[in-house]
Amino acid sequence: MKKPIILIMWGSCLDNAFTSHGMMLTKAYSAAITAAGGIPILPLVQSQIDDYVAMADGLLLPGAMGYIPRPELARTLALERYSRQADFESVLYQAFRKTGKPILGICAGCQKINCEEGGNLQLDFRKTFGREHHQGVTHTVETLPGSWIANLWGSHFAINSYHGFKIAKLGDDLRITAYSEEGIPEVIEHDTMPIYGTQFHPERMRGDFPNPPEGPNSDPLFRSFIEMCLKK
Amino acid sequence: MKPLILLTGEDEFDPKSHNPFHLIKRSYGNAVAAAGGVAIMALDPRLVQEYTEMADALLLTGGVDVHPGRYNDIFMDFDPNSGLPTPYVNSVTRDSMDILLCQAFLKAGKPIMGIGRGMQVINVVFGGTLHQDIPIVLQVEHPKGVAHPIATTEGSLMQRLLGANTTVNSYHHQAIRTVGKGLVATATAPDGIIEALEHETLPVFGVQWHPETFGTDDEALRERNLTVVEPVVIPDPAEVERQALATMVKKAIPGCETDANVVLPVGNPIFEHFLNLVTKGAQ
Repeated sequence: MKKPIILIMWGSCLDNAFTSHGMMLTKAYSAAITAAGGIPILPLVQSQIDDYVAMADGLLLPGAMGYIPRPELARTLALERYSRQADFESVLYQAFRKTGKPILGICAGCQKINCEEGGNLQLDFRKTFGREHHQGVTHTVETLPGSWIANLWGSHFAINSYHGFKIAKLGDDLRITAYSEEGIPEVIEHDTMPIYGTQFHPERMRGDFPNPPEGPNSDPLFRSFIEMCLKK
Repeated sequence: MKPLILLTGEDEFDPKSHNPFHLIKRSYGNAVAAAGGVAIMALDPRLVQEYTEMADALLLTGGVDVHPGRYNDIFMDFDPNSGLPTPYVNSVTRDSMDILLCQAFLKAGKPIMGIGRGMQVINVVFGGTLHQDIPIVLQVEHPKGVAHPIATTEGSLMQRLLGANTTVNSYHHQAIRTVGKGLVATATAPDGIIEALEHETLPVFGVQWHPETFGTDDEALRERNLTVVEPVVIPDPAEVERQALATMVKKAIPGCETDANVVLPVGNPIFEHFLNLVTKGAQ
């Protein structure tokens, strides 16, 4: 069977030789796609987004990531992330969405989906909410019966958590299908389109060192996404 | 249909999290796009066959050293002059990605271009060898970031593209030692270092310098970012508010640079030739 081509959005970085603008991707994302039977590729040029969308069968928006060869360049990197990367990702998402092909967002990618669908975020909710959801803390979630995520992993399961922002206003036609114990949105699914987002990191919940160890293996989640990409 | 060009990127570990990642400088993709190709980066060396079937040509980009075991040499752990450990960086997984893709594209008869390390990879694939460090082994200075002249060989592709003499940038500490079978050195620096390789019959060539910086601010950014320490500034509250509003809906901060209207650097002879190899089959 022909393997589906999966576009993966990148994170901003500066390269080592020139400390010039670049794009990066943590291998955990591409490895999860490969293991599930997809062919991961990274798009590089914003003016070619229509070409990328035409050739691809699915889109993965990953979590936030970055790399700088010198710590002094953190501000340069932040401006890249919140300008060039944010704009590229918006254009890519909207172009891909028009095709009706499947989209999966992880962590910051899940938040991006919510924003592109008309929602917004609460920034640094930990201070006002009083609960830590960052730096990998493990917690459990409860799912909505009959949803994609409930069909995959059941009503309760443990996840990792690495986010300082949370979904505030929910985007149009999105449904929250998993909540943390305190009511923080953890999974979103679109009512009519194959668009899914997880606030946690399923790409870290597989392989020999799953995080969290007590969580479900995430290979079925990525296989489910790849199967949807094959159908469309 | 525009030709699809597969690029390879750096293969590293984040020093803080130790997560492995792939990285590519933005100007490579832009140079390919300016010459008329669609640029994508390969992400998994286990998919060499799929990538080779999918793409029309391969661009091996710059990066860290090829492991000397790949060309039957011993890793130079210590500087024989000073006795101190050498600081060189290599990536065995990137070697696999680059070399396997190079071999697969050769087998498929599809064009290959190498830049910097990429030219050295092509040489190694054809059985050539490398000098592990120019100052130590050759006792010459070939400093990074300093442009130098090159002379091209009469009748070569390089002479056709660039003329008999030109000036190129320079960002490498290794060099071609013996030239691989079927390859010809067609440009040299005044210190004798080989600056370009062309295959006698196949659509395969490489350059030691970085033509992708043509029409970009790569070299200026390098100068700035290697020296400037960003000042600690008390942020303007209005700007903080503006950034927060943009972040809340994950949109680009107003007024900051994006690629929405980026002008691609057209007219780069090296990249135009590379794309011509796909579209016209020209040699």
